[in-house]
Amino acid sequence: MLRYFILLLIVFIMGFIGMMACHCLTTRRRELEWFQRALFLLETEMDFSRDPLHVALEQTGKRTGGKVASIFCRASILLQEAPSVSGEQAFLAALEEARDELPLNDEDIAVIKRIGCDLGITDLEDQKKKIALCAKAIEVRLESACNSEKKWQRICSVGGWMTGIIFALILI
Amino acid sequence: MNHPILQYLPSQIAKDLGASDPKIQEGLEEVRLRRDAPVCLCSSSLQGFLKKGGGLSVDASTSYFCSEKELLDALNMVTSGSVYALAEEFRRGYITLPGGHRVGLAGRVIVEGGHVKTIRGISSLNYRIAKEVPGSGKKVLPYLMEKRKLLNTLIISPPRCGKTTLLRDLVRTLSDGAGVARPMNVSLVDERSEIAGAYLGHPQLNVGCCTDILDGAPKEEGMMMAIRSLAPDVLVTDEIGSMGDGYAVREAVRCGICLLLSAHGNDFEDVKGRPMIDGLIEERLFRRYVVLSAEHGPGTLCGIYDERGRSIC
Repeated sequence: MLRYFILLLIVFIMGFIGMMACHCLTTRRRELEWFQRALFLLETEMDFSRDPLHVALEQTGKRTGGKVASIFCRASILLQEAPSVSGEQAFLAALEEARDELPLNDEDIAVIKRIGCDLGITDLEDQKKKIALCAKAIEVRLESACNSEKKWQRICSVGGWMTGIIFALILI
Repeated sequence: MNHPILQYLPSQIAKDLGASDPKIQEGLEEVRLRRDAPVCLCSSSLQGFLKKGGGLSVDASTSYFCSEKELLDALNMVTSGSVYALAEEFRRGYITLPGGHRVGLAGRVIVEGGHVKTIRGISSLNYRIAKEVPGSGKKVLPYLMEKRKLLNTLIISPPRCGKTTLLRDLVRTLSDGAGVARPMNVSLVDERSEIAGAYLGHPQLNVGCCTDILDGAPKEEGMMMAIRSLAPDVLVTDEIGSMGDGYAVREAVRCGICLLLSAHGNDFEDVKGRPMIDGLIEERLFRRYVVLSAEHGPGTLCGIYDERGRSIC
């Protein structure tokens, strides 16, 4: 009886691992979508309200979701706490603090870091160009994330259960 | 001494300036940061370079050089890291700080359609420290009043001789009504934010409680706006010179508004050489001329003249 229980546990654990892998793929895509939305909101804030950077970042953070929201809000706080800190330094520091919680790989992070490049220290036209460039780069990463999700989601979810069942059969 | 401008300077420069003799800091009028050049300090009595560790030096080789990174840090501080939000300031070439201090910008000027669009690649920053001298107009004001009304007055002065400081104090006195019959509604057209030092529209320097400020308005348009909508008793602006200014001045006089204006010039005869001002002088629109110089320091009163150019003081 115990033996069958352990075998069932193995099947469920492997199935769970497969589901977690699917979830990571989905959350990666979602976070990249949130970053894309955040860039659009940041550009709008800069263009229309012309508020100081810490206000623009705070407003952007409030209107996004996921871990992205906390990154932008944290960057805003860092700017207010130390006025001598640049927008780039504040953003990168906030990103670094949240890095462990972000379901993104190294290439994704390298692209996200570009959001901070010259943040707040160029005129509006230049700022919008940099944001647009960054948005394009995130779009490429998002496409890659969507493709990964499509390709691996089914494999991971079904594969997890199948692996569990195979292990169980072998052990039987 | 904790000079108010230190918080807008890069940390090492602020530290060295803060360590300088308090007398240097008190008299400071300008701090100039130029990329890869010595930090310049200017006052009415001193001019030199910031020494490493603090103090003033006339030898550039012993002075503190401002690096490119420090200049960018300074720009970040004066713009609060939000250059994109200051398009108008960059177009005009200066940023006003809390406290009324101004930072002049220099760099690569971008022109569009024949007009300055913005400045990029900032290569130097000129911090001009705002100073008020309450009471500087006390000696002059009695000569400018007649039957409880301000006579149309033109202050004539070369650069850096206290013209704006005097103008500011006169505005404050007239607006508060101290020493005059009653508080007067003063409309101040402050094109370069030098008189009121407005930051986000709020005056940082004391220009009186009955003063309406048109901050950043071009003089001609600002004066016409004030005449049409602010019903001033006194209209004030700094450095008139264009034909458009002359039109607005005449309009104000037609509406019975008293004028307190200023113009660049060494003396009365010097300003007469300018067509627009000469026209106003010929028409006897001004009843008083106050001439300043820097002979005994900024704000030295050379003389007060009536509409015919006769000295009355």
